[in-house]
Amino acid sequence: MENKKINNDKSIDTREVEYQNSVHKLGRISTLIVIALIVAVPLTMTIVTGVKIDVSKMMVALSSLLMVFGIVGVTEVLSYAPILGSGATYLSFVTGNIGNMKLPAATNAMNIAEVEPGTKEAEVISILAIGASSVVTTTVVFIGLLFLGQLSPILENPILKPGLDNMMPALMGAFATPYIVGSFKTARVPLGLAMIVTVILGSESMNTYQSILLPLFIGVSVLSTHLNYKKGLKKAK
Amino acid sequence: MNYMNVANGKVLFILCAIVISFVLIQSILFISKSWKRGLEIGLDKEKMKKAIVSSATFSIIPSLPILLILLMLMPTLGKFFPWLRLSVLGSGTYEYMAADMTATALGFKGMADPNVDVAAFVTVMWVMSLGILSGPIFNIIALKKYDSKLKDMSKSGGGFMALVPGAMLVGLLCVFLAPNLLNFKNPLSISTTIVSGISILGLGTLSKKLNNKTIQEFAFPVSMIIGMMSSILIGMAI
Repeated sequence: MENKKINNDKSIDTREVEYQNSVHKLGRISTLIVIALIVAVPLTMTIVTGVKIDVSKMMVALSSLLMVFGIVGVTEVLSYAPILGSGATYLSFVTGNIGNMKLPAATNAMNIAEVEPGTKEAEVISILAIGASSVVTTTVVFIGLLFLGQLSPILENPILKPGLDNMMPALMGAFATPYIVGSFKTARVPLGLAMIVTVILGSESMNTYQSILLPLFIGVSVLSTHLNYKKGLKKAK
Repeated sequence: MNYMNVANGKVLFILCAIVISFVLIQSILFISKSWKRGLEIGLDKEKMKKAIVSSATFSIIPSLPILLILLMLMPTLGKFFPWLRLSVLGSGTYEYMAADMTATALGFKGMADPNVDVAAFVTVMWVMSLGILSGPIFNIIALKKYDSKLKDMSKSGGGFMALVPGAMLVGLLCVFLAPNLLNFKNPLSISTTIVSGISILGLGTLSKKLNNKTIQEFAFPVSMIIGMMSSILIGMAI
């Protein structure tokens, strides 16, 4: 009986590894195709228009951009991947709008499905949520492109404007509050620190350097959880 | 030739449509793969359906500001390239900054300079496309390794490691929340954050009291809308 159970566990493990490998394969190949297609757009336009590109001037602009956004891309993957899972990470980093859309969509779906981030169930839910979110955004932006003339009076309506201008605070209040209240013991240290940094730097700078600050605050939060965990173990003893 | 003819031309439209269509296909491939995996590991079909429906409904509202950015970019970059940039990998701040920086590096006053020509526009497309690729390139090279390291750690790290993804999320949220909660230049941001935060807590309690899961499912988008409405009302009052 015991042996059988162990065998079963092994077969589940093998299946899990197989699944993970196939996710990475799909993620890598599809991301590679997307990158090739993205590069094909300016390349084709260069050929079609026959213009000469001043590469050295182009590199000046590109290198200063990469100094910021090159690092941001990497720190964001490192920060989001453990929560989203690998499949959803491949997908998110192709479709964009991660912090303000994909991450809340995924964690909200995890809550509804009652699964914890980091589990294999959460990985599945996260891909479903981010996939659905990507399809919706792409559709909304496409409809927007078709009907922008008709939509712009609504989007720029002076009565509705403060609502749209304050979409981010509305999103973050609804997104963050339940987690921070629910795990206040963990959250109090990084939240206190984030508030101090915001007061010193100002909200705008805090938003500008957000992606660079993420790993730091994640570290503080994990450390604070570790200390609480140790305290809990001591108490239990 | 005015660069706007190129920016709003058929060739660029077709190129952008190809990229966006492929990204849609990628999303559908991932959805179908994880749906099958969900059934395999015993996830309830209803739960998975709800995950899809609630994410889809939630995503409509945060997509609207993207349309505003599209409106903002169109006068200088035409219709189609901003459509691509905002559908794939884009973010409002990056796009405008990248376009403007390139135009300046090429010797123009900025993207709105009336002398911007076809060559400058194509260069801007190059820079905007190449500058945003570090995340996906990193994924191709290192995500598998990073993921397996994380999984090894969670196997060997005992009870504490199970808490790490949750702790990481809390850390992320603190960075997201603080600048909205303490935006003294825009007091509406402060009130909106508080109202939507209280709304979601209230709706959560209500759903538990009434034992009604539907409330919980829509708590997030509804709280967002309540927060946004509060900014309209408070904005009118002050």
